[in-house]
Amino acid sequence: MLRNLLEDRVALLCLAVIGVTVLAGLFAPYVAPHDPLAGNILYKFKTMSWNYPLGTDQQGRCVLSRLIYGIQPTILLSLVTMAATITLGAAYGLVSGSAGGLVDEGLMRFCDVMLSFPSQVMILAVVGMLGVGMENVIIANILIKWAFYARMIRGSVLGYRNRNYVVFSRTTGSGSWFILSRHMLPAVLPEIVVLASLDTGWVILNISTLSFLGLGVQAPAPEWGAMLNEARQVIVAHPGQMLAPGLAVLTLVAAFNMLGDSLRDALEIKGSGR
Amino acid sequence: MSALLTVRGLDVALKTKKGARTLVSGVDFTLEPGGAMGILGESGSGKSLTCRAVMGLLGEGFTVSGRAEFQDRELLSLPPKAMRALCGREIAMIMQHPLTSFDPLCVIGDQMAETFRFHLETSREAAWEIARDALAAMRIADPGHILTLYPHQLSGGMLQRVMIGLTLTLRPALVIADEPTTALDSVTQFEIMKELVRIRESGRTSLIFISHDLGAMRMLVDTALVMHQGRQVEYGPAQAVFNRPQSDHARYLIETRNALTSRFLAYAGRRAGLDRERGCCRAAG
Amino acid sequence: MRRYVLSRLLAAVPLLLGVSFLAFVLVTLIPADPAEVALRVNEIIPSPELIELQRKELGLDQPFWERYVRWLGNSLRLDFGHSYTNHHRTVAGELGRCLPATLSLAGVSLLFVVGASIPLAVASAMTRDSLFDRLVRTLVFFGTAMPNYWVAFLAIWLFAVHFDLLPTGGDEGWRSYLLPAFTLSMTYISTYVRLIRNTMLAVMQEPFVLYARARGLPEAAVVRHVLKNSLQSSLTALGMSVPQLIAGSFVVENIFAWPGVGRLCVSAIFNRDYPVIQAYVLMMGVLFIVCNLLVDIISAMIDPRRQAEL
Ligand SMILES: Nc1ncnc2c1ncn2[C@@H]1O[C@H](COP(=O)(O)OP(=O)(O)OP(=O)(O)O)[C@@H](O)[C@H]1O
Ligand SMILES: [Mg+2]
Repeated sequence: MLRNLLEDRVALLCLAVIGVTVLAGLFAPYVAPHDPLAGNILYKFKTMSWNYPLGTDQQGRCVLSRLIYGIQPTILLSLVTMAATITLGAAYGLVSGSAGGLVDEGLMRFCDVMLSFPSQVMILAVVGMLGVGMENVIIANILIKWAFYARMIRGSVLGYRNRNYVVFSRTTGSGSWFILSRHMLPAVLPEIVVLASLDTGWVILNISTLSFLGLGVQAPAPEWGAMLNEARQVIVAHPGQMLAPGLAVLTLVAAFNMLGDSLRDALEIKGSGR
Repeated sequence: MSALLTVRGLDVALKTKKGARTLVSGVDFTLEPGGAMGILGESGSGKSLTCRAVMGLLGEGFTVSGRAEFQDRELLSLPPKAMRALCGREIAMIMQHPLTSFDPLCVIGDQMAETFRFHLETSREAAWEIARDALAAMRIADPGHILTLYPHQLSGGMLQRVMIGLTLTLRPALVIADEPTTALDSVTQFEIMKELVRIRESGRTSLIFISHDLGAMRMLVDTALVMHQGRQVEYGPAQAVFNRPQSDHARYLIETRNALTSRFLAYAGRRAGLDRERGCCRAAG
Repeated sequence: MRRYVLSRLLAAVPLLLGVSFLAFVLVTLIPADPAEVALRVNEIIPSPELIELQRKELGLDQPFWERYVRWLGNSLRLDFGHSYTNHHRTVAGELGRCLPATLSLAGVSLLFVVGASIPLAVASAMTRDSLFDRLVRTLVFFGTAMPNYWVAFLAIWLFAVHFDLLPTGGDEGWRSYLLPAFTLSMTYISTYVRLIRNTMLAVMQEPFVLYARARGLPEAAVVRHVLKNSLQSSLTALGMSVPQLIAGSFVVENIFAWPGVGRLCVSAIFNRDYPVIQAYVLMMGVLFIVCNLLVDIISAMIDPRRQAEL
């Protein structure tokens, strides 16, 4: 199945786009040509040049440098969000699925309540109560998605608990960690990877949307959504300002979505449940 | 008298990203008017594909080549519209899974009536009338009520009889029955087999009968075609194919199927009984 | 029928309670003391005595469960208290004032969603892998990957700034609906085109479609069967777009200065006007549960296979 993926040129391209972006984000200070915050009033709204490859914004700051520094809060934080979501969901799902009985019932009812909470409302609720800021946006995103993963993982725990090889492992006295890591995890992993890829795209969109509204990353910090918010103020005179950050979001989200779709095809998973 | 259906060198291929994949190749047979041919073969050997290719029911993804001449018309080059008008009217199909062969959101009467309306160009009311008669001809009790039911409210056997009734009302020249009994319990299977025997004996309609059930096959067909992995491995008079199969595969298939003799004997006994009865009647009349 | 509806209603009660509890608990998670916040947003310098007074006034000195029950009782009577920022206004009044704008925007967007996604999906499923189908699929793909606030900008720039055809914001007659409704519906159109198209392709593989063709039905009649079955199974998702459009409008309302509840809530967040946020969250949670219930009951009613449940 990995070979399938490597043969898929689209998937490789997506992986390359994501990989390069992540690296650029990690090494932003070395890659970016300028300080993302240092403006130069004399160099406002410059078009592309060798010195400023993507021009400058309304405060004379280098757009490319701001884009590169904006990678960290966008992708890296969304990856962190997904990792936390999956960990939390997996832990909850494993506990619920292996406990069974009333505990399972109660835990799953709680999941239902969480799932019946629409994502948009959950974000406004959490950010509204905990206050404006990136940490709270991340918490909100985790709260939205974890129940979904919890339910899925519980489902596969129940499904695999009674499979022959697991029963066999248990009778031969293997520890439950062994069962988990050797049998259960490999079985649910493909599905999780596909969903996680699609959800990462969704989280990126979410983070940038909230920053755009001023609920996440705060200006003047470089973040793509926040940059668009600043570009909005000069839309009449300088509409070109909104192109670079918008295209950046679009490219990345598209890459994650396409990767998820290709993975789904490569791993032959039916329906996504989204 | 010329043949009803002549198929020569029929190939079916599936277009895939990695080029065409041949699923059926080199099928040749001739079906006389009033004749009955059986197609035998393991699951996935291409029996259904062959029949669907003849009826022009394969989707865009398939390429069909070869010749299929039906009543002096070349089916494979017929325009889609003309082909569709032929389906149901001249060549009819009885499906393997009666439970999933009807639209679950429409009552049976509507589905029967729309078929009649299209082929017979009658009004809606007249078409319902015909549908009721069709069910009555199948000796289904209370046909008026059955017509108003949804498919999920009927049993598989009942739906199969509805399908046969629908088919026979249009008096097609050829009926293709693709494993019509596989999805049914044995009592119902017997009922359906009786209906097929009736079609056969009416003498008007030719039959292509696909089945894994050798007993049923022996009862119905006069020629047999054996398929294996998309190829035709044997074709000839039924007696010869069943009793002295030439190819290894046909022999293997028939020997394993013969292990299910008990059911076959039951059918054969009935059949013998029927024949004797009819013989008596004829003698008396 | 009545029994089915009743049992579904009963099943919704714990969900409603859960949602209301979450909405209530959220306020207790506030990092600051609500009484102090309430004073500060009115530019009163909080002193210990004043805070004490405010706590009493807000009922914050009572035990948790008592407060919850009282709050729930009040909420059932649509009494959500007063706004922190504007003591003369009740929260219910504010929401009531802003709700029509959101509902009408969501209504127009729903028309866009249904009017665009069904024909596009049908046409693209019918002409599978044609140029048109590929074009639709590409658009759908970008529709789900594009931030919709960015699309709103592009649209504002093109139609409002460049061609000066439509207003950039506010609610002034039907022309001002076009851009916000387009922006709001875009994501959902993409989602539903994809959903309905895939459902149709799956339905086309069903044996009953093969049999409909084998009976010789004309293609139009076959398509009618396919369409009926596909829409039947997409109905739940389409129905749930109603609350999603209502709740999801906050971004669009902010961009287009639309006087709806979403904008009210976002400005409440900036003003730390907790009662408004809480009421908004409760309202939307309830809206989702109620819509879910309705969609479920309706789809059970029109699906003959589920009539036995009724
Ligand atoms: N729509 C399709 N797409 C791809 N492959 C197909 C399709 N339909 C059939 N096939 C392949 O064609 C081969 C022959 O299929 P067919 O349905 O004709 O078999 P069959 O002999 O009727 O088997 P059965 O006894 O199970 O009905 C199978 O191997 C199947 O995998
Ligand atoms: Mg078959």
